[in-house]
Amino acid sequence: MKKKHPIGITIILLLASNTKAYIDPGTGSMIFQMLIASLVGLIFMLKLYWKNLKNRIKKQLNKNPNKKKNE
Amino acid sequence: MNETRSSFRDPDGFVYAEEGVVYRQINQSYKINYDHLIESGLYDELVENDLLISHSEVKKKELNENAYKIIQPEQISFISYPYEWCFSQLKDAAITTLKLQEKALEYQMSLKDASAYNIQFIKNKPKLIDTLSFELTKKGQPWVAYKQFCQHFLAPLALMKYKDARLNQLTKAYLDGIPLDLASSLLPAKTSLKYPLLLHIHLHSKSQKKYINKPQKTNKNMSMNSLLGLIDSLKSSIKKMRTDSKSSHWQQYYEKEINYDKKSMEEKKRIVKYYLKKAEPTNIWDMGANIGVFSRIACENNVPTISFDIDHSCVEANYLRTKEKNEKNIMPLLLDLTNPSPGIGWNNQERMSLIERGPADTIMALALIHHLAITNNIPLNLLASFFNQLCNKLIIEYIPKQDSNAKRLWQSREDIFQHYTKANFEHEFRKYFIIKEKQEIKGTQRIMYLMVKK
Repeated sequence: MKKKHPIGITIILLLASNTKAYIDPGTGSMIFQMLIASLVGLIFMLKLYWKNLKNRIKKQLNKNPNKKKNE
Repeated sequence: MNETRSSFRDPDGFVYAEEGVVYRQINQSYKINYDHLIESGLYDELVENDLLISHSEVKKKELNENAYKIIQPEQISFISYPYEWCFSQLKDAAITTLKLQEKALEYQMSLKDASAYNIQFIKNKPKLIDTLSFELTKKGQPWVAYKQFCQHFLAPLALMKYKDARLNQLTKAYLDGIPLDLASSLLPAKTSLKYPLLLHIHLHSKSQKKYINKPQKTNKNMSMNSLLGLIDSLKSSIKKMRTDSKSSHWQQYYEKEINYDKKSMEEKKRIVKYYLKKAEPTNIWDMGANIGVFSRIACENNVPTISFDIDHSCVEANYLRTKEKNEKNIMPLLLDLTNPSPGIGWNNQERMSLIERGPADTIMALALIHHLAITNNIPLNLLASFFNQLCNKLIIEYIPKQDSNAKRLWQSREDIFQHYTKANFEHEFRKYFIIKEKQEIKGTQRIMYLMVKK
């Protein structure tokens, strides 16, 4: 997946227009998203960090045997 | 010009057909969004990844003063609906929708709707067909289609997974998806212990109830990270959902219940192949297809084939097989022939009935007629006129009352099926069809017919 935004970046294109949705987004559903925003955001960050950490460890483990072979 | 009866809700454009070709008018109100979709590269990336239907801009006379552009999307041969999909089809459609939202966010856009009806299976791949579904994101705004996504995808998937696969039929009753309070009350209590379902269905539905008709607070914002977290949470919970491997009576039909020895089965396959060669079909509907054994013979020559069956586990097994073997010409769908999908929605016209979506060039009705005539008491004359409405050519198997499988259907009942005879069958079908070929399957009492509409 091409990454167009680094982790945590919260810049969204600001539009002058503030048009409402053409479907009913549901007041309760919109408020609920804001209430759980921090929770889902945090879990997402932790998942990404964990994924990155796993990848780094994997890379490190893959590098070492090669080094040994060359030595 | 025929304006499609399903695209009237979105003021940014509409779909219409002219001389059998489908076009979409994009209105001026959508200009800024459409230009961004194209110029940012999002459109190209989505089309390349098989997530969005492709289109070309065409120079045609605008239909009204609101027009910005007219586009001609890739044409779809058959529109299917969520209540005709099995669990894995709905799951794949849901994941496609979430992938679209993820990609859109990368390009500062967001899905403004997340209707399951916006997804269609094209060459067996779920794709978004509504090019006008993207809008530029507004800073801090939550996902406007979150509620719709949960109602159209998450709720039916959870009900199918944790309660009963047949509950997908609720989507027929609730056009804008299954209300979350209903899903929450129907789901077993144990689903409250699953974090994503607790969050996106149970607590979400409570929030809807609490804030109904209350003005929306706008002091809080939703960061991009939270938006991505929301999508990731939905996606990972849906990805983890799998159907049970329990197979139904019908799924085991070819293993246990089949009424042919190996030789007769081969003979039946030979006859079907021969009839198909003679019929030269442009498309096929295989009615009562079970897990699609004969649909696979039908689509050997790249003929688009729809493989209908009433049994969810058969459709599920059939679909999973098409995915495993990368079969692009078979579309398995759920259908109760005694109660085919009706016209529903506004004016009973928003979603088409099965008959409106026909006729098929060729229908195969193999080992089916006795279920309709005997189990469901449908007279032969009604069966003949039904198939006459639905196809131009018909490959049909007549199964006599004396056949052991047919016997089981009427033996414990009063025999009211004196009319169910080969002579009557031929007499009724001859009213609409010419019998081109007729062959008995050796080793059985069953007869295969190739008929062509008069």
